[in-house]
Amino acid sequence: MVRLGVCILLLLCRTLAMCDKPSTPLGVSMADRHKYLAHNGMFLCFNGDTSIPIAHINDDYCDCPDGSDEPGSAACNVALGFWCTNEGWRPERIFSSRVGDGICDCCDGSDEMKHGTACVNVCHEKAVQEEQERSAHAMKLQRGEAAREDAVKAGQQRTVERHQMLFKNIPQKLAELHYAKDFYRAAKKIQEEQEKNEFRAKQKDILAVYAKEVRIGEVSQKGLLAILAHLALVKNEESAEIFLDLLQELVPGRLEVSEIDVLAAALAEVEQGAPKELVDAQEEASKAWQQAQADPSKVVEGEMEKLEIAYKQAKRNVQQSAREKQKARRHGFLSALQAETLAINNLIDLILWGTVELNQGQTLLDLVKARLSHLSPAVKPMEVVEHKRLEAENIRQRLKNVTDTFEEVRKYINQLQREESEDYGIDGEFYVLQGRCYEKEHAGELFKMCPFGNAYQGKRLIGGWAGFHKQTDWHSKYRMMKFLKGSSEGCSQPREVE
Amino acid sequence: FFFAMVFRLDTTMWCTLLLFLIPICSSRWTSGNIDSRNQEAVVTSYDFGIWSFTLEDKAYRVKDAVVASPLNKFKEMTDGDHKVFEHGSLGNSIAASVLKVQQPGNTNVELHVNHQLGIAVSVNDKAPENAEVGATFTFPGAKGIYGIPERAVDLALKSGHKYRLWNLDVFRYQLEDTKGIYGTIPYLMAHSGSKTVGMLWNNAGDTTVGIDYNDAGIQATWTSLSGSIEIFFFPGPTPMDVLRQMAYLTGKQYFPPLFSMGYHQCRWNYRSEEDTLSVDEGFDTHDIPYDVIWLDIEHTDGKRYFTWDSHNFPNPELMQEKIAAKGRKMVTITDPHIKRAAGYHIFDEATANGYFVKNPQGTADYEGHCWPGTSSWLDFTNPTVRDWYATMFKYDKYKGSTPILYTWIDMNEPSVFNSHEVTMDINAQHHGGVAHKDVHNQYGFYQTMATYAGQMLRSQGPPHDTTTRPFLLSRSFFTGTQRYGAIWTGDNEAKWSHLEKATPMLLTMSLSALSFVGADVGGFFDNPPEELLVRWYQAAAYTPFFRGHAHLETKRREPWLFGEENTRLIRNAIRSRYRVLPYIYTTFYKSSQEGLSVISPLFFHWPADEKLFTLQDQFMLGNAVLVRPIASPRSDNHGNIEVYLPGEPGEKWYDFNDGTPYAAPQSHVIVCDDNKIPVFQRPGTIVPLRERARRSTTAMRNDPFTLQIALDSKGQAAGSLYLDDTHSHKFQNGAFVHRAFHFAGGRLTASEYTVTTQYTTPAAPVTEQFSTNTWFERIRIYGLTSKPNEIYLEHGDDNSFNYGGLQGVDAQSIKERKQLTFEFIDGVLTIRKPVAYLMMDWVITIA
Repeated sequence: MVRLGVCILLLLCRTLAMCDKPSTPLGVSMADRHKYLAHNGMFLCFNGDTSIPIAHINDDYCDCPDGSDEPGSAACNVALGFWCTNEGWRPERIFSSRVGDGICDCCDGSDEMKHGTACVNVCHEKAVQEEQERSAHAMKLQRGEAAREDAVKAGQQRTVERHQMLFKNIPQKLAELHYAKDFYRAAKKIQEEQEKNEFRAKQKDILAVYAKEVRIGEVSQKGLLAILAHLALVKNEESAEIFLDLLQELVPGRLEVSEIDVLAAALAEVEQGAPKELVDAQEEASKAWQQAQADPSKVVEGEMEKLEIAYKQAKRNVQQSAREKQKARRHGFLSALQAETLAINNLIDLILWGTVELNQGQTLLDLVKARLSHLSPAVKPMEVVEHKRLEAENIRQRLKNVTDTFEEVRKYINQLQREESEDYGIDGEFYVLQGRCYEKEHAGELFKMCPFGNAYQGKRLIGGWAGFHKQTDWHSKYRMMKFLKGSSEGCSQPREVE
Repeated sequence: FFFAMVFRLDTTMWCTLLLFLIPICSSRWTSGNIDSRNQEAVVTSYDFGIWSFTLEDKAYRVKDAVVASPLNKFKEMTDGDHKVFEHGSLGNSIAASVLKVQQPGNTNVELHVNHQLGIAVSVNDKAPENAEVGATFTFPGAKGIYGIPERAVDLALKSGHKYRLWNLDVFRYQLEDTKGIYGTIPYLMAHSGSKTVGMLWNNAGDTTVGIDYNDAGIQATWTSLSGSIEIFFFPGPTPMDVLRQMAYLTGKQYFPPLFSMGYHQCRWNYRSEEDTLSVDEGFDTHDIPYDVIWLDIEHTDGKRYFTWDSHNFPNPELMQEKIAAKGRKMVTITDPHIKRAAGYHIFDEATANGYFVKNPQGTADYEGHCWPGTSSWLDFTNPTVRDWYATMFKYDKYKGSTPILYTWIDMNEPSVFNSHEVTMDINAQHHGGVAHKDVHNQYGFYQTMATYAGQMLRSQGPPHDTTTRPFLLSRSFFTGTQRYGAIWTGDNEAKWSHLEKATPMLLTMSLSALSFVGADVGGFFDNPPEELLVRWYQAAAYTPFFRGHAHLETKRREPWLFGEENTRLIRNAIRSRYRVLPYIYTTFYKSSQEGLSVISPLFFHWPADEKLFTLQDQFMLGNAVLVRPIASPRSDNHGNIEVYLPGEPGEKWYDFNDGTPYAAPQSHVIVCDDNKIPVFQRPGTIVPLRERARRSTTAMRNDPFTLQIALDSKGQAAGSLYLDDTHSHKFQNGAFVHRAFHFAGGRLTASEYTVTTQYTTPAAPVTEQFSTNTWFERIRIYGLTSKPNEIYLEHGDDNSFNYGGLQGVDAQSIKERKQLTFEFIDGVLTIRKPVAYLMMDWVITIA
């Protein structure tokens, strides 16, 4: 019994002794070394069904189908990898294909230990370097985080400001502006009425003197009517309206005149001239005559003269027709105005004030000259005084200021609304890029990119902001900026930038 | 079998062509040399029964394509109106008589050649001014005709088709289009089953070849719109003879450095140093081997080649140092168009020295548009320009370049965006007043010549006193380009049909003596379906040049971007390439010495088997490995792939990876999962392998080898393994080891490889030596019928090799007979770890 116990003890000891001093094969981690214990001098491949002599472990020949017998060489293609202990840094598993290939992969050089390549142990340096890189990276991250926080703050602050503007400040301002506008408009009307009266008073004296100088009183009624019609239609309905106003002002009691008829007459299609058939006939005759002139040899004798006459007649017809139309229009105007019933002095007043309002001094002089052959050539066109009332000017300026402010506010609202609909990132962190531009020189060209704005190559527009863009499905939505619809000069497609 | 030719310079034919090409012809008509043309027929002989026929005149004659020296001109005698050419040194070979009536405008030349092949040639030259040249050749008895790359058509040229030979940058080139694409070799090989002959039409102008199969055989009608008549004839008699004769005449494949046979990772474009290094890192993270990372045009400063974009590539040397630390290389692109920009050193120097091609008037530099905008083109036809260009690659000249930087030359047809047919004005003037139309097809060839010279030049002198073997990739090529670089099939598409067509395209280039060829994995344009990408990697792993590339506008497609399973499949495909690299390297070496191609059509190896004459979905890698790419989706093929295995009845082929035997000669349906394409080892061959996964060729340099043996029906096999320092020219001085392996009578013998053929380049005196401790870790034998009793190794004790090279090996103790362990499972014998040394003779006996 004792002897048996000793035997067992001895056996145990032998087994333990083996456990005490296991030779960990090269390339095996401490955690895996128990897998390389021998059983009766044999090693069982990890696959569980191949047994090989223990001497074949790490003998630089691949025996196990799963490669487990060569943890320390590159003999197996399917090995689990090589375990670098890497004291001073941290252990690492590398591919078996790296073992003994002449390149130091483990920082302790253990992968090349048995293969003649001298590797320097760089684990300590690697640890130091990694720590440096880690802290540099951490700092970089920190800086990035801080920058992002600032950007988010700026973006959020801007959103608050924008909402304050859009929903409070601007509506208030608009109400003020509307009030001011109405007020200045009313004031302007009053002031301009006064201004006009003052002007009339000044101009009236000049008018009286000039009426004598130009001897308008000597023009017949028919002549005066013709002058009136000419002036009243010089600017079509605009001038006709002025005359209607003057009529109300200068000849009270003429309310029976139909404004609509007057304006309709003023709008008659005088500019279109002669009817189409007459114009076509003239064209045709002209062509025939020109052709005949170009090649007289083909024309029968006497035919040439006939063609010329026919052309001239057609031309006369056209001119005649235009004259008649103009005449009819003036006639229509005068009759709508019931001008023939006006007293001569009223006619003269209308003509003179109309000339002032329409600033047609030269036209009037020409029209009178055409009717009074004895008029002195020294007579000049009527002088029109300048009169601006200071208060009226002031009010006009203020009204303009208000209108300009309106325009500015409208632009500002547009800008705010654009911002409101723009995508500045999840937390508005990209707002800080709004209004900034970035330049880069590349291959001799200056590129300029303004997020939320445009992109340029030199002076050429190569794209307008088209939002952020995720390059691929696994990238952030804000990976890239896109600028589309740039200049297509020299290209078949408009330029685009990403 | 014999061939006969009829030259017909027949006026009606010219008129047909003139209708289309009036400007070209009329300019020649006005050149004033018409009546003074005085043709002299010259017949010249070369080694191996090659001979040439030339009509000497003042038209442009192609230079630099042919490198072999003539033996001598045929002896010329006059016999009345006949000229008689006799050649005595070749015994019964060639005697010719020429009838030549020298009347300007009405020259009749008949050439009767009495030759053992029975060649009869008659020349009937009636072209009014001989501005253009043409001839018709008949190959009586021929059943297949091959050659005239480059276009995306079938291997066997088709009857009734007219093929145009004019190098063009064709946007999205169409399959089956008979017009040419980027490169040209005006060479044909006609094959009857028992006899093969070949011819080279040495003309670089706009050329058409009409093919016509008729009762008499196959007729080929050549016409060229410029240049002169210079024809070389290769007597064969086998396809391999014709190819080796062509390689002898125009130069054998240069021997590329090992890294360039690894996997290349390219994309238009890796955008920055960070991007480039992260792709490099990606291969390591996913344990996928690769050797070279490529930078396309965007890496430059505004498409100024030989410069760097300072923003994205601020520190190119440091980037290359990081790549070099893992034993890898880098390639940058240097296209032939030069941006017209003052201050750009290439432009300034070329302008100052007049190194650009000139406009048709010769008054100013020719200008056109390409990637950089307005550009001019370097005149590589001028030897002075080539010498100058070579200096641009010197490290002090090409800022940011380091010794691991190699070169890609693209757009060298040349591609001119704003010009007719997207190429140079045919009347642009080259050196010596030569019109572009005369040298067009050689433009890219001359750039490869200058670039090769640049890489040679930069590695001379300290601190790089070992001349490194160049590596360059060119898109355009001509006869002789094999002397300088690799060629790829250009801008293909991510379609199954383009994967399918890659095989005949690569075979056509290979049989035209251009061996270092490949098609871009995945297809350049568009995004490949994942299954296509995987199948493409699996096929391209066995082609001479192996590169993944993609268009700027495609999705990223680095091998690990398509999920774990596809990453695994692609990893396996690329590793399968690295596994066979010892065999590929040996095959390249043999190609460089003997003139055979690295891959070849099956009829090269079984010339009499008519089933092979049009077979183009299988190819041989070297003489031992048969590959059948899968170019259709699983939804079509259901994993059942038909393969035809030729050979003698009673022989068996073996699945390359698991040793399953397949009987010859017959078709088999091979069941292929996603990880497998049919690859077989030929009976009677021994293939050297390196079976350890590594990250690059450099990382494999000390790994042990495996020999994989496929026995023939007599229980025999043979093969060889070549090794050197993988990158220098020292092998030319004897610094290499080339071992022969023979298996017969149960004995595997390793000895020095001494086989030479009449075509083998004579060895230079040995002045340098190479040594290595590399050993064999495994012998795998397919085809044994029973388990051996014992196996033992005996190292020899002769001193024919360098024991001194075996560091730390006890030469005496290893000579003792050593029992080897082995296993025999499913007919495959694996001998465990013999530790037989590559540098030593040894015998393994299987008893």
